[in-house]
Amino acid sequence: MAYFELSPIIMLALACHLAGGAAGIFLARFAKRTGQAGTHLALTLAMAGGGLVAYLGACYWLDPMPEPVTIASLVRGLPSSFPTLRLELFADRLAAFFLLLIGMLSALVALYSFVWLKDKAQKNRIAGMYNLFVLAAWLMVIANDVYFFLAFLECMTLVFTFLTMYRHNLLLQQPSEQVDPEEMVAAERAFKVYPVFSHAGVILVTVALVLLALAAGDASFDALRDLSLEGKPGLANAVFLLALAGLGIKGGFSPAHPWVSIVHPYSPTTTHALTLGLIIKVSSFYMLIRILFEFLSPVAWWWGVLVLVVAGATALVGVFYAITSRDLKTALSNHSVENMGIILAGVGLALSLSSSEYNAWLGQDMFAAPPPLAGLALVAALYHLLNHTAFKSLLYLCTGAIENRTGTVDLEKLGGLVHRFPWTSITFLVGAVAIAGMPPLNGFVSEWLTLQAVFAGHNLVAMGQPWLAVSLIALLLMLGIAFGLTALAFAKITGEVLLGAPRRPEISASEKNGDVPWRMRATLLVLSIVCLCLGLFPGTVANQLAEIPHDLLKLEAPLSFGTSATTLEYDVSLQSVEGKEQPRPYQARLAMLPLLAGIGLPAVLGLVLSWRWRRLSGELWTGGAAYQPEAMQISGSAFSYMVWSWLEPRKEGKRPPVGEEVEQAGTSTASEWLPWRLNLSEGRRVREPFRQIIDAAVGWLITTSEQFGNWFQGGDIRRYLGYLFVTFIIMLLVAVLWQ
Amino acid sequence: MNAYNLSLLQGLVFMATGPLVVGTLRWVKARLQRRQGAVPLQTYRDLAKLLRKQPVIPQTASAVFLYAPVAIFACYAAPGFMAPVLALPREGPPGSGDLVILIALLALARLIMGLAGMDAGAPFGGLGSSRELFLNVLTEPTLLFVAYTLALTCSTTDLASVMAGCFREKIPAVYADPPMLLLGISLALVLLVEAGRLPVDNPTSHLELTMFGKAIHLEYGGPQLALLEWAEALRLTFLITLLLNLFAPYLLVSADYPLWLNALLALLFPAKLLLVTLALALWESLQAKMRLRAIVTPALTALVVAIIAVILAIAERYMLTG
Repeated sequence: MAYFELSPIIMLALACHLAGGAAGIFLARFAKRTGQAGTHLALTLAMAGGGLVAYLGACYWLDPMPEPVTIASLVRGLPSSFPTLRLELFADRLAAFFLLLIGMLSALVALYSFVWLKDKAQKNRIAGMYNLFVLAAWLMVIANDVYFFLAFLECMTLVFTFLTMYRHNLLLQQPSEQVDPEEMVAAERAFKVYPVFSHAGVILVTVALVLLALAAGDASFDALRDLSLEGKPGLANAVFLLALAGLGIKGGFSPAHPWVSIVHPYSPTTTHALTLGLIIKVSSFYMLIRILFEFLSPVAWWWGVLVLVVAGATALVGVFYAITSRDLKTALSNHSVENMGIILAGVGLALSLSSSEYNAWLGQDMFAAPPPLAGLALVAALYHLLNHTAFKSLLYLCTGAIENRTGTVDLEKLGGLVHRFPWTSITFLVGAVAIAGMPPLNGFVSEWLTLQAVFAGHNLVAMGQPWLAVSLIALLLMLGIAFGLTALAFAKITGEVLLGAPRRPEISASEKNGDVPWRMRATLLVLSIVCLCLGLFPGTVANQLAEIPHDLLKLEAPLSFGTSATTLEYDVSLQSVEGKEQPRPYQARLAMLPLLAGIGLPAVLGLVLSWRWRRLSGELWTGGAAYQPEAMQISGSAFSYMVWSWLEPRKEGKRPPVGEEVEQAGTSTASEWLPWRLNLSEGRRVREPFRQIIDAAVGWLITTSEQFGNWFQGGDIRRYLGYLFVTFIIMLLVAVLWQ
Repeated sequence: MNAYNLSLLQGLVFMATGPLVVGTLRWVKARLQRRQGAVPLQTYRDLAKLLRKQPVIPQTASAVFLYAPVAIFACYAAPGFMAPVLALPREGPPGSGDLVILIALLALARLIMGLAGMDAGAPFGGLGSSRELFLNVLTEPTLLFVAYTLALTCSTTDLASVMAGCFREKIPAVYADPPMLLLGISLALVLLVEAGRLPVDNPTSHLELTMFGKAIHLEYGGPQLALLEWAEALRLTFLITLLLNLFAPYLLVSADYPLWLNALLALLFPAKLLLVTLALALWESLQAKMRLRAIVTPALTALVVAIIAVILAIAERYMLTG
């Protein structure tokens, strides 16, 4: 009964985060007298709470709850047909995994925030809200019923809306003549756009979950787990589509991705690391995995097709707009969308492989456990989720460090930081190589696993659905291009930020002395080491993660990825087609030690051959002219010109004359709800068709509803009497039919 | 010979062979253009000369610039130790010769090269970085589709198993197998694009603006430049070896043979590559120079061919019966 003993820790963690929230928010009133005390108190409590949550996660990972714990239930006062309202907590391995991630990352970010929030305006409030945000996130993960899940999801939306006002509040405090009006509008847009997207998502999820709860007659997740939708394909399809759309909006899947890069850059950089590094996945993938693999059964084969295509598109679109972003925070926000796509690819593959059609084709019962390949694909998704948490939060925290030192995150103004801030730069480089999916760091391992799952997943085609083959090929094409573009994006970003000569002398003049303080350095180092370890020990990590699909999908045999810590290998048998020979089992093997040896031997040779104690320092070759760092280094928009040039807005297909301002292409007007012409550099713009479409659709919706309202409220008394009459008739009909 | 010695041997032979391939290519091209041409061994002399020199590092450059050549060299030399180059091990390989890993290593080398080009802060280095990484965008999906075709026909992407267990068994039939043939064509096109062998890149020019990777080499000198040149030669050698070992897995070193035979076969390794090198030189000499963006055409052709190969492989495996 380990869970019962642990419940005091739940209460303690709850108390820490609540007290931290209260301390931050109330002491904000007395900020002048208390100084840093309020912030420090709130952050210390956040660290303590985070540590406790991580401890809880570790305990539940080792020993998952056998059954839910009911904290409180409200039965009286509700209509009898209404599903019971009760607060249940339940932590299986999936929840424990997310608890562990939330706890550890939130504690690390809190440690980092001690430095980042120092001397910042609104520091107490941010620290307090940070506590509440983390609290809502981990409570949402262990909530075991529809009402409380939705309530905590909504709490996260509300708290985060506050955090997105950060930049706007900063601008309000500055004298109005110093504020760039365009920036003001963009900062305002952040908290105007976020609730719209987020609530649209929450509404769709609510409908999906309520439909399920009504079908089950109970709002507890346990009832939903037991629910079988056999013979009700309409309901199952509706729930699937609603859940994918709703959680897709929350998670920024294409085409609902625009909000991610509009909203997040205007929140404080510390919380940015937590929200985009982790919470965006908690608020989308956690529930998506539950709904798809626990609540919905049987699974139709075409769901996977849809998810795979969305996944590929998300990956591609995310990285494309990461390349065209002008500042570091926006670029990283856009790039998070790409990673959501890669995770979704694994989920979609697992979904196809656990479909009832595939099971039937395998000659199994429709409800039999899916084949181990499905588990494999889900491990790939979870592995990438874990990796993305590590390297993306590392990159955000590096961004915060750069912002702390130089005062800007504008890619065009940075440059040459590697000479001045070696710690920040090395950790940034580690993050960049990891996120680009390069061996031997962690991004590579999960991308390799995802690809191997796609490769082995060709067995799906055997059941005779050509659309599955089409979606697999489309996914691989989009993922392949996205991987290539990611390398380009991070060469561009790293080159602009860290390498070369400083591009703006005034930025280098305003630098603070030395690298970041130890607390920031420690956080960055810890996350870099995590990135390295997740890459070097793929066998251990995958074998641990395999517990989740084993429990979720109720696989018969445990999934095994080999016995060695540094090697990831698996064999899965493939099913043969009638009239064909039995295919060999699919084998995949990723051994880190031979890889390291293969790279290491020539690297040592190269080092020995090229090592010199004395090196000469020389001038650059600039074609004979004097070196000008601002003008002579390649700019980001030029670097990526071959990628984005085809989306440049042009008037009637004509190229603007060289040297002339591109007037006709038009700038984004400040009043646009979603600005769809992105500024790359002076005179260079690129279109965002998705934003354009969403903008037009919302515009149409608003105009049409306005017109309808005008017509409906015509002002004529006869019309209103008519409405009364119609309402009366409807009420009568309802009353009669209800009997 | 045990498996570890074998993989060490093939790595060393691979590294030693690289410059010879490039030297031969240059010599054949010179002869085709009716020039005298330097002897094929000239590349070794150049490397030795460069390795003796003192490096000159630009003032704006950092450690990234200094150590990038080592890392690039390691990435391009690593396939020699990991993939089956000289030998086809019968059982599970000691090395990690998965094709996807090798693709990632090629991409890693490109990424580091891109960073090195940006690091010096020079105007041409940045241009070169941009082009190199754009090439990577063009070739990476194609290589993934090549891996997918192999996964479909051989149920693995591990090169040793693919070559030993799948290709060698049906070697005459492979030449009549549409997906395999398309895969070969696609791989050959990727070789041209990836190794800078297209008439778009102009590595021997005196004009910086027409270069791809060579624009990054501009700031380098001495041992660093030697490593970069060597690494490029290894990239070309690896891609040629991959093509040859898939479609003509003959004259291979084996753990069963006595040592003298293995040594002989290892010495014969450069001779095997000669055929493809000659074809490459001939092809290069027949092409006219094209503008930069024309590189998209062969790259996309390779991609489309690879996709068709995948579709045919799927059809062959699951749809067509008999």
